[in-house]
Amino acid sequence: MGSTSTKIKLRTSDQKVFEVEKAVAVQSQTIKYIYENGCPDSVIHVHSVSGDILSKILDYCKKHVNSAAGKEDISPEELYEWDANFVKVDQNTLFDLILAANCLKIESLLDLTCQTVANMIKGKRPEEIRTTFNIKNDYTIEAEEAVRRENKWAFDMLGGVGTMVIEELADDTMSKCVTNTKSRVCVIAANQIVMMRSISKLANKKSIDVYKQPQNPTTPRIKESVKQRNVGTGFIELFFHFKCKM
Amino acid sequence: MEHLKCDLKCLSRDILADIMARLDGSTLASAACTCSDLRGIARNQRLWKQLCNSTWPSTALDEAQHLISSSTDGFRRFYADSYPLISNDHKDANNYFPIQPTLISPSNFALFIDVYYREKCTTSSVLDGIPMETDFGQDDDTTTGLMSWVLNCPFKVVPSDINDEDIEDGDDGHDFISLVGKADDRCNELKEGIRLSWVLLDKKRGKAGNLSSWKPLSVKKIWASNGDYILHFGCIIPVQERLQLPHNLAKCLIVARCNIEEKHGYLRSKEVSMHIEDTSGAYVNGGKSLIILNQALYCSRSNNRHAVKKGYIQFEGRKQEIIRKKKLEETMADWLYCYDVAIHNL
Repeated sequence: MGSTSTKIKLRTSDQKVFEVEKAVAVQSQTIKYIYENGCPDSVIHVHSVSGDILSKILDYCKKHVNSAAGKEDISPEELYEWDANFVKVDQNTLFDLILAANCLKIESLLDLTCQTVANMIKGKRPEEIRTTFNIKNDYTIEAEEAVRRENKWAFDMLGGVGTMVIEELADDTMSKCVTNTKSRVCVIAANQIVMMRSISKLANKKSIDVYKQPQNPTTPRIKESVKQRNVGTGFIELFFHFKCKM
Repeated sequence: MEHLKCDLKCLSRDILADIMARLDGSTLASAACTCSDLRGIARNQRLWKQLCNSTWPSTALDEAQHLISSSTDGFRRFYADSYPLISNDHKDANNYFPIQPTLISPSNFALFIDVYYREKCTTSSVLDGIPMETDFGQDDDTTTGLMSWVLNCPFKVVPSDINDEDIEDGDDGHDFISLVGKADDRCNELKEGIRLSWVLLDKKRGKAGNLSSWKPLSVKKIWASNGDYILHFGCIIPVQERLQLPHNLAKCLIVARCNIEEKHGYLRSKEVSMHIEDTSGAYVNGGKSLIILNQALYCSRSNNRHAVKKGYIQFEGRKQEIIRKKKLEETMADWLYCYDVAIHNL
């Protein structure tokens, strides 16, 4: 590139050096500050970030800078999809990305990654949250009972054994789910046929993943397509039959 | 900086707080049950205040700021009390009836009213104290109460002063909401689109409850008017025997009247009011209403909207039964009278 594009050198914690365009690097407020207040030619140390993570972050920054500058022909929906795929990583990488985005002060990336973690927690019962994040239950039996009593009101809104699907919430949950990266509905009822009415706007959405409890409790959860029946009033009735998983 | 003993341990409390702020109320409550550290973060009143303000914009109004206590557990309890709906669940036979204070004053309560269309809040109101037409303080004897209480519509909220002429004037665009859908399907659009939340707060005890059914129980067009519709919301409240209401049930009915301008589909809310009825369809007087409202705050709740609707249908069923019985009795009485007259004339 010519003299119009300045490059900044970044050195990571594992001594890898990356050379990136200034426009990309200054997406990070930290790097921007160091660059503007220090010597422009020297290498900037990013101690807390490893090479792999920085590489991913630079990909992200580059994509966003190019899309904003119009260098890349990408629509907002496509960028959104790209972001969604960007965060489809394992948990450790995701947390590393959060920490790096926090340290480098890249607001949009921090927002994206935190929202991803929030989506992983949404709609889950405490046991499921514990499993997902490997959280140790440090309550005594009495304390746990007390806190569950305090929060009892929330439990019939969350997926779990023995809960009925709530019509209005089901609509909201589903419509929120389909706009997130993971379209997921936690709908479980014990030994009952649950009919959930969904408004027709969902028919236009891309996909709905439904996790259904299998008959045999030892079988892992399977993804099942949604059976739809158009009942002619503009509604789609979705039928699920579940067996109780103890 | 405390770290959690799990995969989340690398995240600082600030980041965790950021993540928790993105959760909805029930997930936040669920997260609080996982471990004591997350419970600590979830107890932050700012999170719950944010949730309350986004769920019920009326709580964010200036007039409402002093009503919900932000120092203790105020917002969390407000959310927990008001989010689920009041459900008359027959299985839960142990209804808790609080010990009635000798005097329930309408100023003990506050009201938070929000109307939504297609998930956007269109109207919000806060009332500090239930406005009664007469001064309560005179007496608490319910027999003379009949004279001094307003028998129907103990209180009313009118979102804005409207005259009929204003509706033709389409310039004041921000007051109007444009309805989607076909002109001949307004009733259905209202039923699917309009939501109403009517939260009652007992300021002294910090108990709250949502008296609305969230979705309309019924929508009717008033044919004699120029595009007026009446929507009913409400809940069924089990009452104590000493109030002597038939079936020991009362219906809290919220009536919303709105107007749809036929040409462009502009919706304007005209009036929202609330009153309490028993199964015979009679309005409950002011004194009993306050007792019932107080009891409603201690009722069992449910997020299951089917159950709430079922309770309402059962109530209406009982109402029809009473009406039928009455008609039958009247018919029998007429026949007996005719028979009696006939016998005497022989």
